[in-house]
Amino acid sequence: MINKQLFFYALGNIKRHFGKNLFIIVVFSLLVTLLTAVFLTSKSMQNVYLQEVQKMPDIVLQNRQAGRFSTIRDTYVDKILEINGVEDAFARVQGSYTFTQANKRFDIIGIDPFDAQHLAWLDAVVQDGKLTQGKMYVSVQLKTLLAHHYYKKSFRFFTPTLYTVDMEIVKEIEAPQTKPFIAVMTQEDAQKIFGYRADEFSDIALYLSNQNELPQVIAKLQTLYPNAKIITKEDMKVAILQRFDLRKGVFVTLFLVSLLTFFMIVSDKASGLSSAERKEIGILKALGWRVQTVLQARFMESFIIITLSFAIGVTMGVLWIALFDAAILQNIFLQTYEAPLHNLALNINIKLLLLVFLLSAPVYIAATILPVWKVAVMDADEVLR
Amino acid sequence: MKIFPSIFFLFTTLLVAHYSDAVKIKKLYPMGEKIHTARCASLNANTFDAYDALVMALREQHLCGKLSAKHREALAVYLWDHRKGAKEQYFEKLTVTKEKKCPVCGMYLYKYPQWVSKMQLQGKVYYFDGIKDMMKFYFQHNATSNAVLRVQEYYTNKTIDARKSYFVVGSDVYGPMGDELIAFEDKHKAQQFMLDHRGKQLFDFTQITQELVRSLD
Repeated sequence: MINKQLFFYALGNIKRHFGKNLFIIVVFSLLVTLLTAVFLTSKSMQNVYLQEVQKMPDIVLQNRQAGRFSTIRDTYVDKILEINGVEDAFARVQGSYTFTQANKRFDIIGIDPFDAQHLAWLDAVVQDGKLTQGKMYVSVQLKTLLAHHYYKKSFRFFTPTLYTVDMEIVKEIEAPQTKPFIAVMTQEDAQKIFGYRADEFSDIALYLSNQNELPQVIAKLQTLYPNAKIITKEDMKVAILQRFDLRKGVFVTLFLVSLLTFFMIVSDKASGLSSAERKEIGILKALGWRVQTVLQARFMESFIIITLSFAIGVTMGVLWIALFDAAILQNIFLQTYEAPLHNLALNINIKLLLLVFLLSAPVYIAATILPVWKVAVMDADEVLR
Repeated sequence: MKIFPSIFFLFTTLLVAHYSDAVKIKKLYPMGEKIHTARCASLNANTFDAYDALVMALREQHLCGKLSAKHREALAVYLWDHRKGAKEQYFEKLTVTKEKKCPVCGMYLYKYPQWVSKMQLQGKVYYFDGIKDMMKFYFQHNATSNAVLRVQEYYTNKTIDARKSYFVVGSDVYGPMGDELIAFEDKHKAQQFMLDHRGKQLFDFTQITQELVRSLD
């Protein structure tokens, strides 16, 4: 049961040292804001990428040459289709193109408009059946970027061998969240731009009708393409999880936590147990307060401060993501060529908030209680003297 | 003189594109159908006498617009194989609500969607969490040939008629109730499965007995 009078005494005490306490609340709120925003941004981004992976093929076959990614031939795609448990298999042409004038990269997806499109957005894009050679569909963001550089109706690509490929911009499309700058064109055009021969592709994608057959399908693929790297959906998921793994970022955040908390503690200490405060504890004891009561009052005081700061910090952190799409913070987790995600869906994780609270609050409370305890256990006359 | 018909036969056979059923079903038919719907829905292959005449018409007369060799072939194979208008027998996908339980073991079915099997008996519909439980129910209720039995093909999860299916037992693939009868649409797939998954025996529907089903428990 909370002692009401003790609670009001603690509130009164906070009011008396308003300036000092306000400073602590501001610093601590900023610390919590930063931690909450970093943790929640990483979780929210991870969710977006994991959802994207969910739509990816079950298996991707990639060729490696001298340890680097290289093209693959579609010679055995028909053989792959004959493997039981495989629902569909097709060679893909996709990659990125560096738009040197803007110093930006954008994604190119080369598709066969008459093949099955396993991604809903891509299927919607080619529904009209009008995508033919020499024409491309671009995302709204890419169209704006190209238009900014006066490429309004067409764009001139340079192939690796410095030939040019002119592509007419015929349609504006809604891009997926993770790839805002994207151009969709026929496979043949994409092959020309990437400098591939007609039988060269970026990779081979497989969709399975029965997930239990994954090991058998992989074993059979290894006999067809012994040199190729087989990437499963699980591998892609692990890569995403590793990228947003808190254990990696936690060192940075822990460093920040300890630095800022230390800063607070030092500032609190420097002004905290002044001779006036020591005297105050002495008076309380002389009035008949027990050590336990003095500590309780101090605990309440620091608990109110810490809870208030935490609430403000969490709110600000959440607003940072909800209103500003975690501006600046997203860049910590993005690769250099990736654009920040728009309309980032907030994923509030109670466990993470609890972690932030436990990383910071107990340190602060302990640091304020300990010196008080040291004084409170002394005799009142000794403290007052 | 007798050699000419043979040469002619060989020549025409070579002209018709040869693809395996898997390639046709998984790739060429869907692609051909898409082209047909988008470009030339009114084109009817029944008006052509031979496959090569159809291909020629597509190439020379651009009946479906300009197409690449790959697209033309997919369209031609699709149209040629579907020219009689004979429709494949198609059963709707077996889906269950969250509340549905197996009448034999009482397990919830939604957790194992790929194992759901269905029996229609005397106007009532029953769903099971595997073929083994369905067959138990079948024998317990002395179901006759009137019972409609639907199972899912292992590789494709397609709904098939149990009476026309092949079943493998003793493999390393287990259902929600342990050892199972694994269903296949054709014998070749079942044999392939036996090799891949160390299946012990292969049966057709008429060979499944009450003793066999009991032995799987």
